[in-house]
Amino acid sequence: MALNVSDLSFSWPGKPPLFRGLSFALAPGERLSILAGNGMGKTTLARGLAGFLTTEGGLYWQGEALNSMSRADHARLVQIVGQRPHLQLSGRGYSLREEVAFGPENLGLPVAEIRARTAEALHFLNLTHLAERDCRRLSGGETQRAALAGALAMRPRLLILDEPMTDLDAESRDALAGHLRSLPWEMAVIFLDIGWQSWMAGLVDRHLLLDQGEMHGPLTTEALFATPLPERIFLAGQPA
Amino acid sequence: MYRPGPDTLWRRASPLTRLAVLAVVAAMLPLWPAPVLLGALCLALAGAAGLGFGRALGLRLLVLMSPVGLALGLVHGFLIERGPPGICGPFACYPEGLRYALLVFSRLALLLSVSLIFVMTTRPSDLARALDGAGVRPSVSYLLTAPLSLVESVGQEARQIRDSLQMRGLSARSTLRERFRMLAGMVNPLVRGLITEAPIRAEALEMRGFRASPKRGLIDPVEETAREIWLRRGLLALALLQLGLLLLWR
Repeated sequence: MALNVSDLSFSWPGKPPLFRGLSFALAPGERLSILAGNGMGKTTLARGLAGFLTTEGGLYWQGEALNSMSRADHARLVQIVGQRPHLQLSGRGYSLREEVAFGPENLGLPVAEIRARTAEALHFLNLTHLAERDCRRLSGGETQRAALAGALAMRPRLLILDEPMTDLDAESRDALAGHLRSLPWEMAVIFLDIGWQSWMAGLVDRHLLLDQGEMHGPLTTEALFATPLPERIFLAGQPA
Repeated sequence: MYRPGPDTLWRRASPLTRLAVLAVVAAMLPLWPAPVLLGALCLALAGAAGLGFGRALGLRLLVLMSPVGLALGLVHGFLIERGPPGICGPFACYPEGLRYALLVFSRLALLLSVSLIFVMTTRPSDLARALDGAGVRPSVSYLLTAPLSLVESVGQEARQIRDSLQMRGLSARSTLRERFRMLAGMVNPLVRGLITEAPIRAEALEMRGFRASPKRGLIDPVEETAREIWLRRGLLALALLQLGLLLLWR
């Protein structure tokens, strides 16, 4: 297994635990969803899984604790794309191409490698035609894809997507889901969303349910809909 | 604030060379008398016209410097006793004070105009790249360029808040009181937004490896001719020379 989460818990000071006793493992290239209703702590959980919070319990990548890694190793390993993608753009690049290149540049990679990764990420998200566009002039959906391209250019081994399709139209959702299915390298992906979404079909086959801080699962898609779990988690539809 | 324009020598120059020009101008301010500074101001305005935004720069200067000029003239020319008094209509004025006000005004106007020319012709990202290319630490170059790059996003945010307040009945075009209410309504969410977004932005930078390495790579390495590098060195030497002369005179 690549990612090992063992008995992970977190609470804000003076508040009840946002999540507790979270344990699961993820193999390289495996895709998992964590489903929870609004305000249940998905974004905090995403930050916790990426090692950005001081959590209780263990969080290991191939046996190494995430919070003991160097900045560079951590950046190479894990990327999050959040619900407010405009906050993930560095502002250091004028054009989208420069913005996507920001991460690889930070790693001090050779120019050819930076260019290759940038071109690949832009191509992958169908953004090549917008490469020279001013980042501040991108639409909501384009910004979402730009943030994802910036994350993919780092070639992470673990990608955490927090409600990744919120700003996308149905066509773009399907296209992006298709892209994620055909990633050229083995990358484990964790999707956090408010419920099962149609684009998850064929992309995600294991699901965890976060409800009132408790984790249920993992469940297969069939088991997910056969389980009498709180109805509020399932807001977004039924499997195709 | 960046304005695209015709391809000129100034725009082709590295942002660091433009910064060196700014350093020369800043160093000349305490050294030269008002006529020289006003002459340099005229040159700067002519340069801005050549770069395609002379009118915009002139208007900005007028809006920003008119109240400053008025206040300087009043305070130093009429309120503070400086040298023998003269008669200006029904009032007593101090010609020496007025000369001093003109000197301060010309210093401020020149520095402001050259700074605006720099900002209006330099994208923050280009400046950041030039600093990265010169080997400046990423955190330092970020600190230097972040205010410039944040100006536009803060402006966008402010416009959104203003629109949302207008939809809820406040107007920016009615009475002074209403305008103040609008301003007060804008400040709170704007400042709060900036404060709450700061850690999210910081985390996003860290996640993308910012400061992971003391030296960044660049997708488009900065290429400068030897002539430009020597020109920049010359400009910096000129700035230092002016500061040296100033120290000698004092």
